[in-house]
Amino acid sequence: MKLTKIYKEWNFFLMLLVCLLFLFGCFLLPVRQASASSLPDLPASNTTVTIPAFELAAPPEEKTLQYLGISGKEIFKSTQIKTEVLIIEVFSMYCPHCQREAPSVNELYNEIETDSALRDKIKIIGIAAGNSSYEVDVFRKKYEIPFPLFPDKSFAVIKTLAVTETPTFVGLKVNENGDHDQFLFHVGGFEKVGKFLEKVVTSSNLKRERQ
Amino acid sequence: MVRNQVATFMGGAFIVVILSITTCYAQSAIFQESIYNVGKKLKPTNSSLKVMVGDQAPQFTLTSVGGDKISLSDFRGERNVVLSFVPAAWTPVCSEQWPGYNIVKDIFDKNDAILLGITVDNIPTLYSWTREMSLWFPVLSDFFPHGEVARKYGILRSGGISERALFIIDKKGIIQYIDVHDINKRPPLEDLIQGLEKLNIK
Repeated sequence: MKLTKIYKEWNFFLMLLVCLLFLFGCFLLPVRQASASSLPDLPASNTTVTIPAFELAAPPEEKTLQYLGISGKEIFKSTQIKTEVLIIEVFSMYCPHCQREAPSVNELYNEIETDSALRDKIKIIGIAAGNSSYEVDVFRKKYEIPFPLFPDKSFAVIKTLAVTETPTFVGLKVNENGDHDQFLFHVGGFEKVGKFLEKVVTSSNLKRERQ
Repeated sequence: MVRNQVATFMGGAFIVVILSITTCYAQSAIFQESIYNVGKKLKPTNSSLKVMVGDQAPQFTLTSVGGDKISLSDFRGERNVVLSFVPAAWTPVCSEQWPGYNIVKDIFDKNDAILLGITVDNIPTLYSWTREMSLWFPVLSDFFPHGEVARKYGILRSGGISERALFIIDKKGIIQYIDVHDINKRPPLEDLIQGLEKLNIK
């Protein structure tokens, strides 16, 4: 009976409201701290990070070769991928964060592929840090990854990209010297697919008009 | 009455918010930040193996994180057994090895095999460590008498931790595969799976 009396007090509602606001505040804080502790998403405006072109083994499937726009060579250069913007997901089959993130990255791929203004301008590839081809295949099958994945058993590509954590998303364009300009370096998963895609588009100065 | 219902609703919302804090926050970078930095490379192996392929696997009974007593003999005649010893909880390579096995349950099932993860850590440590991994296989504590099972197999290092070692034991209890791996490196998955697939060819 006493409880119902309390409910009737407007003060109780106010207290609840304050508590809820406080808790929402607490909830947001650690998330911000987690992202603040990772590397910044963008390089400083006046210092463009240049990444040298790196080599990859051509995948055997015709469909994948078509997606990348490369002809059937054994080894090709990252700068030969036919796209304005290249998004690289550095992952590992063994990394729980990457496993959890896999459906979102597939969603990102699907959003790009179903957007006629972006489809031919943004390509995604995955580089598997320290994984063997077998391990990459396990990951591809398990999460039905639709974009090309490449094993990087010796960490050669990872070192070129200066990535130390998985997953990390690196955004690259090709510059006039035939190297890559890095416009995005995002450590960890992305919260929302649409928001991340928008960040890719704006930070790479990509024009959305249909070609 | 209406006010009463509103209050109940708000109370419910309050609980939901509390729950979402504990679940969402736990999934963030907190797990990776808890990993202990081993620093320098350790000696690849530091023990002398006491068993060989073709030997009867030494028996053991250990307690799992879930509280069950699990014996190797439980699987005799029923399943092939893969023992995955890892050196210690909360260390870099180990913290990724089992999450990798976690997504290949179908391959273990196909080869009629169960996986048992074993470390010399105590149950509370293993509980905290594996909680975030949601593993499908049992994790056993070889804590007391300290590292007794690891010692029986000859993979207890001088520092009191075990090697990073994999054993495949067939349904007859015979060891069919041994990989005492460089402690600093993750064993490639294909080697283990090939070892399992060989059992079915025999």
